[in-house]
Amino acid sequence: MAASSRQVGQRGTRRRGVAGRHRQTVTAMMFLAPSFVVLAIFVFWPIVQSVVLSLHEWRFGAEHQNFVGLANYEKMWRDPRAWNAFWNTVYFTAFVVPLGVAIPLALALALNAAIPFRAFFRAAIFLPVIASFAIMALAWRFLLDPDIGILTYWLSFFGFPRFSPLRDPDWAMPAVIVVALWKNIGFNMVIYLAGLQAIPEELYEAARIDNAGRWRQFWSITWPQLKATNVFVFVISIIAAFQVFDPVFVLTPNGGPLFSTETLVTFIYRQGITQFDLSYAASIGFVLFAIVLVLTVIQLWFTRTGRE
Amino acid sequence: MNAWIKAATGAALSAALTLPLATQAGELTFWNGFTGPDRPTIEAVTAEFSAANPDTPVAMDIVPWDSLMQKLLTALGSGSGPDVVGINFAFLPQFAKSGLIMDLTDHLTAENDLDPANWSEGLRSVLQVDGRYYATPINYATLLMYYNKDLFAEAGLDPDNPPATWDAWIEAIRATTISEGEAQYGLTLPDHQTIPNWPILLWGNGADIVVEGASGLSEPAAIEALELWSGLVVNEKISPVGLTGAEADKLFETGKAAMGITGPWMTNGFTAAGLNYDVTPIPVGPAGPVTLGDTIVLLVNKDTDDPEAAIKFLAHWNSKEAQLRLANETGFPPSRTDLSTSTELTNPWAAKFAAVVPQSRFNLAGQDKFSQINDDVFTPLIQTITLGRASVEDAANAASEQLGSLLQ
Amino acid sequence: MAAITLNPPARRGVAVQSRLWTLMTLAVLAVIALAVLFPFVWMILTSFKPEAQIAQFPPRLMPETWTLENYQNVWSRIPFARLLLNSIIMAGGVTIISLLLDSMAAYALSRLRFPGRDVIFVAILVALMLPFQVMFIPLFVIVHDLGMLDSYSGLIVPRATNAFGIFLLRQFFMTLPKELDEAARIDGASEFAIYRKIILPLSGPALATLAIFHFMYNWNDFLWPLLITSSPDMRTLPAGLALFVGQHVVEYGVVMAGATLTLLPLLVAFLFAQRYFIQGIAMSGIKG
Repeated sequence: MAASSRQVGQRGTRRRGVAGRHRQTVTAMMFLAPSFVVLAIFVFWPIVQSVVLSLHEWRFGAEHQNFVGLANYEKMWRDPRAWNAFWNTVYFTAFVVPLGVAIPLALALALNAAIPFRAFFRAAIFLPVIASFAIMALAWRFLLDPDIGILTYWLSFFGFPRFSPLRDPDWAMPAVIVVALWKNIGFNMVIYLAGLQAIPEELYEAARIDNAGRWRQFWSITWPQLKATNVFVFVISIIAAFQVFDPVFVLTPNGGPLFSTETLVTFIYRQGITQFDLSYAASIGFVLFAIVLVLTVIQLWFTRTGRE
Repeated sequence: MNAWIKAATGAALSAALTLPLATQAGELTFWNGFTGPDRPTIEAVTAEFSAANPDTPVAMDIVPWDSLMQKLLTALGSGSGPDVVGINFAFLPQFAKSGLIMDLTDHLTAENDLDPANWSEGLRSVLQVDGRYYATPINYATLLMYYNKDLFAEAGLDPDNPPATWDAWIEAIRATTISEGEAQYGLTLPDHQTIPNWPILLWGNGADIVVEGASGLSEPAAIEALELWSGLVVNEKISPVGLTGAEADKLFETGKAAMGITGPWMTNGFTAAGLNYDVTPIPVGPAGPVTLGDTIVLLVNKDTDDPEAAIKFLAHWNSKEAQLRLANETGFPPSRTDLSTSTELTNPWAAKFAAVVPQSRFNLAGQDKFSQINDDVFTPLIQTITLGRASVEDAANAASEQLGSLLQ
Repeated sequence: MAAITLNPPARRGVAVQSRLWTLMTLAVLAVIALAVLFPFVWMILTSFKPEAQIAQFPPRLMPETWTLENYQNVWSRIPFARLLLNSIIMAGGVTIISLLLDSMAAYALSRLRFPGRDVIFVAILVALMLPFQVMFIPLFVIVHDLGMLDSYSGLIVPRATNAFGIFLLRQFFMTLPKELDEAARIDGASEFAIYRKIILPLSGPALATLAIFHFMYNWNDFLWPLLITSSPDMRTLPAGLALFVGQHVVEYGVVMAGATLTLLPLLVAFLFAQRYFIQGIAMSGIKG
């Protein structure tokens, strides 16, 4: 049945031809217009302004800002703190993206099946997503305090030594990664749950008739059917990871011990807001922008060639 | 469902269209960052002004200090800034050089109740940039050493006779430090997100971060002080490494630390926690008595519609009544030295903090790059040596070089 | 199903295996849920502690004495009702308007064919790529120039659409079978009718997910509302709670009480939206 209706659809499109396509173009523009106006004013224009800013030397209160060309970009190339922030961001991304996709997918699969207390588990795992990070970080810092934190206190009964990850240059980033995952796994889990709902049940019924195991069902049905969801999850996860700010900023203010958790966006914040060098901040922002854009286009291109 | 969406959209839109106008004519806008326990007093003193000056009531906006900087950056750029703003003195050089704030020099007179003679010399110097006054104080904080009397007694020290010199101090710190098993710390030395502690140790030894416009970090006195105190941290575990100010205060509050250097804001919390403690001046180092001073100051927007009312508002904060009220309700010393020994200063804590005002110094005063110097050079230096990542001399020399290029 | 009943021994094996699998899954989920919920348990219990009992050693999870003082403080020391109303207007307003605009744009990008579609799609994604920390000053200037500072429109309009939402819905709409709208088009249905009568009703799970995200994001957002409003009457809940976080002293009990109260409406919203996830299951059955 599915096959026959697709043929009908193709024939229909062909019949309407150029006029139909033209009508679709006009309709599409009308559907896109409201969003486009809002984005143009409140996103694209500020982006253009930021590019301009990055080519100037911004001085607090000055009427005219000096044009300095690419000087800010050059400064960044020679700034070891900028490189440190870049590599820390890569470190964060390299762990948070794979784990932040695999764990939520596993949870979504488990919670999409008929399992007792399903609603409770979904709500529990989603709870950190809806909580304010600034406040939950107060809680985490309290719990993880090596001297008076209840977690470290309880662990000490099991022979764990006093442990202060957030104050240790080697462990601060892993601790930030763990808390960032705690905060965000529910997010991708819900996206995957919505994606799983869209997979027709008949596909699984057919597979069960063939006695296909869980593993084979997953790789032959679930994974390919989740393609559109995966594209979304990976693209958004990478964009978000490269722009990580909240977990780092609230758990390890001032860049963490010896700048071990300073990422690109916390570095931007420090340069722009704390030290008033807004044009340098803008230029770092643009390098970040370029990296994320390239990664996104690569992902979309790969998933696109695989489609048809 | 659809009807509901329509109704809600309509409600949101009509709410958006009937937006309230923020500023009324004649209103004086005042932004500051007094979140936390001092807020009620700040609100009350502001309300007093509004009540006394019904023509220029004050519309106050309180947001956390770091958000306040972000608000100012955006608002001042587009001409929607407040008439008066309260910020930490350290930002003053940047604001003064920006040309966005008013030169107050000619308005600071005894007739206006803004007499510079009433401020300590240190305070006067941080209110000026290039010899001109750009700010007046709201409050003044000094630091004292808090010590836990019970832990002193347990360690065989006299709780009524706290250490007064570095030698006695170090002895007391060693006596109250327990590094085996259940840890206890003799002292807390926070290094970031804190009121500065480490600069006081430099000053005590006759050193400073910046000396006459150049780096002082590789001077022998600086290296000696850093070696002494980081040695105690690394080898004898007198303090945890990498503490924030809030974490240090919590260690003291829970009786895990015997001593800590902090300001008047902690007395209420420690008292409420039932802690048996007292405060004493920071023990005197080889270079003589010294403590840290800090102040929140008021600036006036150059574009204010009503400079006269703004000056009047500044004077209101500097008035005897307002300063005494602040001191008595918050425990901060008055910012006017003529009130330090006033009989109306009834808060005993405020009197103790007021007693050290004459020996208080401001960290990185007048440095428009104070944030780079503190966060990019000094804090990493302290972390490097307290973590034992490099020798004090190497780390100090490297930091000194970095600081030198910042100061050029 | 039929195949399984023909083969009873295999079926019993499958049943045992699947019960074991369920038990293992439950055990793992229970551990994860416990770990995930622990900070919330601490938060809620702390909100009932007197301030002096929060930092203590040895640390205790349960309050020694229970108190409602923190909740009274949240109520009396900030204009809680007003902040709540503002939060509802902002988060609710953004959610409703953005769902509408996002889904329209996503419809065009996923169900219609027109030249330059992929370029426009990437251009929309570009909107996600510059961090807010770079853009906020020009953004502020625009809101200022439009006279929207310190108003609900300033809180809502800049967020009336969202590239994240367009992307999410586009990906979801693409999974819906093409035959649905092709058939409707042949029957002469307008694009708007297809969007409203066919695509939207089938997108319950995705719309519910996005609604939660928009609502939550704006509900918790701290900085943007703080930047563009300056009268206490226009503030939202997170800005109100920040008043209890001083530079040197944090009133943990009050903050945790406020955080608990702030979280409750979101939890209710999530539980409400969950109904739509489940509704989605029923629908995916119809559509094949």
